[in-house]
Amino acid sequence: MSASPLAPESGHHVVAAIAASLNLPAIASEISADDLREVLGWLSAIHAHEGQPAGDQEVDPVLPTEPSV
Amino acid sequence: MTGLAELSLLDASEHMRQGGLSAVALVEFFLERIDALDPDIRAWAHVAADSALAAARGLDEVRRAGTWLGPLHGIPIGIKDIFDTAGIPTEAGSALRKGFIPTSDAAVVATLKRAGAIILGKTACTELGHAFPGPTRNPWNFDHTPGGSSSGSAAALAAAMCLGTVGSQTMGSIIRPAAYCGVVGVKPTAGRLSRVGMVPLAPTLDTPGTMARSVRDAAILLEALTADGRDAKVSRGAPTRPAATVGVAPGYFRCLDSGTQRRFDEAVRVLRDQGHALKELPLPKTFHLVGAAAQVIAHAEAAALQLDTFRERPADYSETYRRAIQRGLVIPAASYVQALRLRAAAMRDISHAYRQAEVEVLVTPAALGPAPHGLASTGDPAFNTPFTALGLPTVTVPMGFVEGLPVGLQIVGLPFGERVVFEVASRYEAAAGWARCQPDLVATVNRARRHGEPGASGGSGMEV
Repeated sequence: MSASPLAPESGHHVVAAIAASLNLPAIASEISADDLREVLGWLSAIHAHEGQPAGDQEVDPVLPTEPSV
Repeated sequence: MTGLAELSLLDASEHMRQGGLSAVALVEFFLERIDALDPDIRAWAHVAADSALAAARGLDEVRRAGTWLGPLHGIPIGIKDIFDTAGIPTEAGSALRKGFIPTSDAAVVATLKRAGAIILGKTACTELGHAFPGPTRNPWNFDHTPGGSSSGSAAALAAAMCLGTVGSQTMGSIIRPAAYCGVVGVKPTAGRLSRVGMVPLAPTLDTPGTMARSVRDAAILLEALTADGRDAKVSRGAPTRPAATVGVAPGYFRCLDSGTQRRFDEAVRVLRDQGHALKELPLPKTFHLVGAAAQVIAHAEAAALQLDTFRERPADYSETYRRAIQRGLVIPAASYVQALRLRAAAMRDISHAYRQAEVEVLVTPAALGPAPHGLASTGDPAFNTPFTALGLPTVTVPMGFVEGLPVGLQIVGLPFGERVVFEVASRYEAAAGWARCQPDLVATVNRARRHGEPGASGGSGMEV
């Protein structure tokens, strides 16, 4: 699996397909490119860990900034 | 007797046990104080005056008849408005739940009642415990956020409108508001307290906890809540053993303003002066990723929980929550599972790191700085999220002021290590003395009224 399985330019199509299956087409079409990029950043970070020996991953620190919960 | 506004929970309890103070008098005092202050601070979503007074009368009768239920007997408590309270509205800061009155209590509420606590009311919170702010303002400066999502729980304590509160944390929702408002916040070990009857945000992260104006009082509340659970006894803060070895992680918690950094450096010096050995704690690589994993987990779980309701009532969500659902919907199931696996690996690695470094707790600033200006955001939980995801017990204790606003010292233990966390917090609190500071509410309210701010004219007869 690549580090970024959803390329930003294709993301909306994927999101639209997922949302249509959930009967939520409106919300899918409105997701912003910035939000999608942020999600992809999280996914890239955890994919960087997956498949490597435990405790032996070379990665950059990732600190979340949202949501403020 | 010390003025009631300065009284600690334990001191109030002692006065009551000895007959020098009644529960009715205490409830009446706080109701008057809420009436005077809350039009400006807006810490309360619902004040349960009638039921609180009725409970107080009953508890006074029980005490006079010779039965004493323990340190919470007759003590007025605020409950975050995401915990169900029988007969009292539980709206969770959401239009979805407007007017909802539960018929039963959340587990933590029922436990507090059995211990003799009086539910004074429901404290305001962000929408469903997520990011969209409630109306609450920071008692130290009304132009600043109190933090969230347990906004009212922290602000009500800072303004001495009750003696203890219950909150919850999914990322930084107890520690951050407690630090911003200059009170003590406790996020216990994941799983220590029941979530039954609590409005969920992300169930594998949601953690109930306590707040008070001292470490001892917050520990008393937690002890009452865990009285019928496993590993029940937590220290009330009185040191009973040699000072714990304290870890610091230089270079990681670095997104700080210089004032907060100075306060943190001073706090570390105080700990050293109190006899704590200080050691560097190298954080495992998985720790640096667990924040991203927490975001994936929180968004996926929130979207899954809200999906059906969102389909039916989209207009009853804020744009902020709507965006969270959108983000959650685009997270692949495989990534969610990977995030859970990463979190499990990070839990294992952090425990190993503590053992390797031979430290018992880690200390960090509780937030990147003091409460940000404005009420549109509740601040950044970056210094709290990893510890919530790891399920570790954390306490924040006031460590001074930056530009007139409180900042907190976060103390992090290993799972079910609340006792040592409380002991370190208690030693620091006693030596530093910051927990005794209270905001000058007369000046703050008057300043707000001079500026004609909304709500600033609603209070009557300010006697604070």
